[in-house]
Amino acid sequence: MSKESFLSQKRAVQYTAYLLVLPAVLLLIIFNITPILYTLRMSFYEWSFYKDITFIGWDNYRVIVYDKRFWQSILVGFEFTFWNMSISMILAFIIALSIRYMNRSAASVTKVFVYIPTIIAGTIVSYIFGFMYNYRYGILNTVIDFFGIRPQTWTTGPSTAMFSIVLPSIWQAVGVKTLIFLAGMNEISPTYYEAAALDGAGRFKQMWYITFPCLRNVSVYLLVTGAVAAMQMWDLSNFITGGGPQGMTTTPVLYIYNRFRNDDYLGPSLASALLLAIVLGCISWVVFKTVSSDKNIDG
Amino acid sequence: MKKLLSLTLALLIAMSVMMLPASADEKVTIQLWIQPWDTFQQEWMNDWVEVYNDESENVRVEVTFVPDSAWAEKLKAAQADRKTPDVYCVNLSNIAKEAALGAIQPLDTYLDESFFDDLQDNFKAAASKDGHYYAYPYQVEAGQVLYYRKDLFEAAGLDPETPPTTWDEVIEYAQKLTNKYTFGYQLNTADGDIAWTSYGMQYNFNGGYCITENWDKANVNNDNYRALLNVFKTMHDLGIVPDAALSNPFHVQPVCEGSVAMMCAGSWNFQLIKDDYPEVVDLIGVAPAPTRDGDYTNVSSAMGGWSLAVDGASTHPKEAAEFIGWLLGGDPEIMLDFCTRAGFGKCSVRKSVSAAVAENEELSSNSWLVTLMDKIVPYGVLEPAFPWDISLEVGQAINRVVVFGQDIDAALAEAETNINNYIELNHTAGTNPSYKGE
Repeated sequence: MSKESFLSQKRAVQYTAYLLVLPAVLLLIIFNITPILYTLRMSFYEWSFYKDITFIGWDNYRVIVYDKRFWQSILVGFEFTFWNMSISMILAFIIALSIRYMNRSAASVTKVFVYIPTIIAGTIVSYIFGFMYNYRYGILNTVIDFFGIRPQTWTTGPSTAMFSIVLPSIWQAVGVKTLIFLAGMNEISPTYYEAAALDGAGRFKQMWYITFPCLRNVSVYLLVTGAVAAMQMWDLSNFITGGGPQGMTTTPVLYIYNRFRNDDYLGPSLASALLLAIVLGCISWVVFKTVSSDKNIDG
Repeated sequence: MKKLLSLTLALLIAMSVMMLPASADEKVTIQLWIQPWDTFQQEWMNDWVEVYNDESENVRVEVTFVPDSAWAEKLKAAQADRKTPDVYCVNLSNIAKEAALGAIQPLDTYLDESFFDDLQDNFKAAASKDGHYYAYPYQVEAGQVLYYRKDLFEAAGLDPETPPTTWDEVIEYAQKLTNKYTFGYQLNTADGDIAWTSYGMQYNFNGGYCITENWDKANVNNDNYRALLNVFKTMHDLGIVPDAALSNPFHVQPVCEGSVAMMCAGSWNFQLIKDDYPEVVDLIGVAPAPTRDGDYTNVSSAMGGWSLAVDGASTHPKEAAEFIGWLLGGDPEIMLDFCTRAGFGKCSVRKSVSAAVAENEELSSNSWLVTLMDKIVPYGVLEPAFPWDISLEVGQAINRVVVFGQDIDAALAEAETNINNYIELNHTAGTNPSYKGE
């Protein structure tokens, strides 16, 4: 093949590749980048739906940056994400490991039951758990009352409100993480375990020295996506606790939602959304820096 | 080829016909959005809209009931999309603000002044701004009415015909009424619920709300609010109120079920009690909410209410305004029907309708109604129109004391700081559209 023919063929392949990627890029521009740029522009204006827009510079950002409730919601988001991720990752790992040692039919049934909460809408989950937490009729207070313990204000108590939203979020989050961990575990070559068994390593050591390290990439993926999703949770705190008490369960997106709903002018809610996007970007950067993914040795 | 050409031609003709402007015989459609607070209200609206649609030659009204929980976001989304309804309900307290924002347009551009003459004077003021009427009120209700169980009073050795008139009496009575099965009183416990259900109490204690009339600074760090917070703290400390409210703030369900002996809630419960708990109607007494000094003429309740207004971007404002005038400002029988279906827990804003109610012998002997019309409504104040975040500070201050054990002085100082910060950050000072100056 001549050099010109080779270059021509290479160019043709490149053009074909660009053409195939073009629809996705167009969709990204239309539905992601353009709205973000428009939001950025409008965040510098005072605007309602009935009056002419007025350029006000950084005023909307000033309102948000000096609003202690915004920063409180960021901290609430961090706290919620910490509890959600730490407990759900550990639970999902344990469940996935257990499924690996089950027989086929038991594993199938377990996977189904573990995944069901994932497909239930957050609003429905909120109402289910809201009924359970009900001060008068909820099953939790009925049970503890049976043991002579005073009924608790699960959703309004300062020590229980956060866990009242963490619990349903874990219930919903464990399913997907379990299946992804399970898929990752199934990809680990059995020769590692055979070699370890020959060397006398028990199940715990095999888990610690083989399973954990080989699931690093999967863990990074779950950490990043799970943390971002947790930071964006709003429906559980809106419907279960209303964001209280004292804003202790007002997550960042709930804060933005409340601003959008209550404010006469929309600029501050746009500014807060963009500031939250920066915070989420920083989270992703920290996770990638701290837990960098590795190439599989055999990969 | 010929077939294809024929088909294309037929399609083009069909499309051009569809794009022709509507003929003069087609009716103008008015979209009406309203919150379905009660079943009777939906039925009332549907019935009278049907009558209007049958009678009107040129206009057809389509009603959409939007739940309160979805109202703000649905309306905002419609505003963003330029698909707002022509007519929608506006809270009485927000009329002036919505008018200032341009979100609603003057009704008196299209309606004769006579439509508004029948409004009671205080509601004329609420519905107007800068000399124009921007909405037509259709219901007013007292936000704080005391409901109590007469049978539980008797069992506790209290006179069932002598309900408490001061908060000190409420505490005294509640201590006698509290037992293993019943709490003496119920307070709301969520920050937001406390905030709006205590409007009447705040006005009574403080002679005004938690910010100045001009919305330029907080008016909360004073002895009046200290006394108010002390009432909440004392009731919780004595264990005469449940740690968490046994119902949402709208419904007197705990009183009806006997798990609470007394509570304050809105007058809209008149019909709800009759509908949901008819067996206890005769066991429940109604009285003005307690006040600081026992004088019910010194504001015992804030008055909430709703009106209908024409959207600022409506393309059929004339037809929309005429519908509002017909429904709310026309034949008094329509609003009398509304009040009747509401069990008269929702008050009329029109003099003619109020007069008709007063002439009804059956109604004038109804003790609940007499209490509401004689002792509560005449002395009520409108709910505030300042931003919700400011109201919320009071609810949070109360909970900081009750739940977190914060000192009352510290809680009020924090509320004052937060409110002043909000006012400064959001340029709230001087924006009260109803402020008429010193």
